[in-house]
Amino acid sequence: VPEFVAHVALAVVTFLAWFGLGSVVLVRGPRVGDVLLDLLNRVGIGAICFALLTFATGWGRVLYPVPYLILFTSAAVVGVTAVARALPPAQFPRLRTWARWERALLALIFLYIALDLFVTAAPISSPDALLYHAANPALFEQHHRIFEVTSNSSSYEPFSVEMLVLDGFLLWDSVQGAFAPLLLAILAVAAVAGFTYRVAGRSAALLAAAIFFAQPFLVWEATSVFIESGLACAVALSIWNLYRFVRHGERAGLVLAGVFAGGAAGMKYLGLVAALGLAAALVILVGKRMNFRTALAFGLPALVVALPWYVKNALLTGNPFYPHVFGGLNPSAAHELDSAMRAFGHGHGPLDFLLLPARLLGDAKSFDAGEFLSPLFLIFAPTALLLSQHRRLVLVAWTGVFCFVAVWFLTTQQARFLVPLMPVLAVLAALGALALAARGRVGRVLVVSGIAGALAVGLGASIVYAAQFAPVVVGAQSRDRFLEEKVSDYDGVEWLNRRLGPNQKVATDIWALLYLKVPYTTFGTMGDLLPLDAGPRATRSFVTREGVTRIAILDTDVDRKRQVGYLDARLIGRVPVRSVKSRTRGEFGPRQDMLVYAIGGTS
Amino acid sequence: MRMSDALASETDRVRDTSSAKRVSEAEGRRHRRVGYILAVTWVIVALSLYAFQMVRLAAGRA
Repeated sequence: VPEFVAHVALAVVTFLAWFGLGSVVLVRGPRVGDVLLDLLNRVGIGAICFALLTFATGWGRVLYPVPYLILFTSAAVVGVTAVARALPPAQFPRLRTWARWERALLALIFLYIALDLFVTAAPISSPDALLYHAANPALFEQHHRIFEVTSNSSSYEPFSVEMLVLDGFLLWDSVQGAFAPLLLAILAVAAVAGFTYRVAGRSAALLAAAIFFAQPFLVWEATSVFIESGLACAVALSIWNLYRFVRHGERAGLVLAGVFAGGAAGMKYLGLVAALGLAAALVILVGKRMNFRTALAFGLPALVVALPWYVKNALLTGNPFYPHVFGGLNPSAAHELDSAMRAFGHGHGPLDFLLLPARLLGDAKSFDAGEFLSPLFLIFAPTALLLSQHRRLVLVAWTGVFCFVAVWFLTTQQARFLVPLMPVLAVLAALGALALAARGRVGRVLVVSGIAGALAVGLGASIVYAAQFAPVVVGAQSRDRFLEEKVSDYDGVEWLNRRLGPNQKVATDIWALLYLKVPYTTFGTMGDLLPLDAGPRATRSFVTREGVTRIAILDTDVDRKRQVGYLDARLIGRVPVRSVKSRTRGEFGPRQDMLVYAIGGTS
Repeated sequence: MRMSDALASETDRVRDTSSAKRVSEAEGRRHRRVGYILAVTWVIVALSLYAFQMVRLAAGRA
C-alpha cells in the first residue's frame, strides 16, 4: 500500500513536471486565448519535450538518473509555481447546482481514474509491454543509452510514449514507467471534456468524458503500457487547437495543432495516419482561404516534432517507415508480419466494410478485445449527423473518422488502434445523444436507458478486470505468484535468471523479456533475424553474429528445434511452463516444456 | 410600369416569398422528422446488437 501511494504521488509530480516544462517552453511560444486549453497545452507540450529530451540524451549516451532527476525536480518546482499562479482566478464548479445525473457522471469518471491508478500499480503483465513497450525502455535504462534493437521490428515504431515510460524507469522502476500512458489518457479525457464544454456546455462535456473514459476497453488500454492513449491525447489537443484557429482565427492554435499532430506521428506509425487526417480536416475547414503560410504554420511544427524518429529509422535501416512501408524485412518475416496484421476482424472485402458497424457492436471479439469497447460511440455518434445543429463541423469530423477507419480496415483491424478516434467520436456521441433526447420522448427514453445500461455494464466489466490486480497491489499476493499467474512462461524466465550468468547470452522466443535479467536476444518478433525456414548456414551465422551461448525454446516449436539440430548444442534444461491465454479469465494454455540448450560446448 | 402594377408585382413577390418560406419550413420539419425517425431506428438496432453481444458474452460464447 505505501508503494501504491508513492507511485501515485510520483505520477502527480510527473504531471506537474510536464506542466512546468511546458510552461517554460511556452513562455515565449504560441499561446491560445482559452485559459483551459492553455493549461492542457502546457502539460501536453511538456510531455512531448520530456520525450524528445530523453530521446536525445539516450542517443547521446548520457541516460543516467541524476541528470534526469535534476531536470524532473526543477520542472516540477516550476509546475507547482505555475499551478499556484493559475489557481486563484480559476472558478471551481458548484456541484450543488448540477443535475443529479451530471454529478453521477463526474463521480463515475473519478471512480474510473481511481480504478486505473490501482491497476497500473500492479507489476506489468501485458504481453506487448513485456515484449517491447516496457522491455526496451528497461534495456535502455540498464545500458544508459538508446540503441537499435534489431531483435524486435516493433522497436522501429516512433517511440515517444516509450520515452516517457523510460523516464519512469529513471525515476523509480517499471511500474512508475507504466503510469506515463495513464497520465496521457487522463490528459486526453480532460481535453475531451474541455473541448465539448466550450462547444456545447457542461452536460455534453460530462457525457463526452464519460463515453470516452468510462469503459473497460480504456481501462485495459491505459493501464497496460500501450501507446494509443497517448495518440488519443495528441489528437484531442490538436483538434481543440485547430478549432481555436478555425473559429477564432488564432494562429497560435494552428501552430499548436501542428505540434500535437507531430506529437501523434512521433508516438507510432498509426499516429502518422491520424496526423494526416488532421491535416486533411484543416484543408477542408479552411477551404479557399488555405495558403502557403497556413500550411507552413501547421506542417512545420508537426514535422519538427515527428522528424527525429523517422530520421533515426532512415539512418539505421535506410527506410524511415521501416518495416511497414517500402519493406526491409526478409520475405518470411514480411509474410509473417502481414498475416499477423490481417489476422484480426472478420474480413477485408467491401461487404465486410459495410457490416463493420454491426460487427463492432454485435460480434467484436475478433477485433482483439473489441467486445469491451463502449457501444456508445457507435450508437450515438451517427445521430449527431442526423440531428446536431453543428452540421458542418460534424460532417468534417465524420469525414476524418471515415478516412481513418478505411485505413484501419485495410491494414490491421485491432480495436485498440481505433482509440485515436475515440475523442472525436465521444464528442459526436455526446452531441448526438443530447440532440436525440431533446427531440422527443422516445429519443429521451432510448438515450437515458442506452447510456445508463452501457455505463453500468462497462463498470461491472471494469471492476471485474481491476479486481484481479487487487491482491498484489494491497500486498495480499506476492509479486512472483502474481507474475506466475499473469505472464506466459514466467517459470522459464525465472529458471534462466537463476541458472545463467552475466557472460552468457540467451536467444529465445519467449515474450516476457522485461523480466529476463540476463543478456538476451530473440530470433526477431517475426523471425526477422532468423526466419523459421532458415537452414544450417543462416542458423550458425545468427548464433555467431549475436554471440549466443544459450537457446531457450518451447518443446512444441518444431522449426526452432530443427535449427538447434544444425548447431553443436547440448540440452541442459527442461523447464515446465504454461502460457496465459486470458489474464482476466485466468485461462491457461496446456503445460509444455521450455528446452534450454548450451551452444558450442559451453556449460 | 404604372404604380398600381408595381404594387401588384411587389405583393405577388412577397406572397411568393412567404409561401416559399412556408414550404421550406414544412420541408425542414419533414427533414427533421425523418432524421429523428432514422436516429431512433438506428439506436434501437444498435442497442439490440450490443445487447445480443453482451448476452453471448455472459453465456461464454462471444
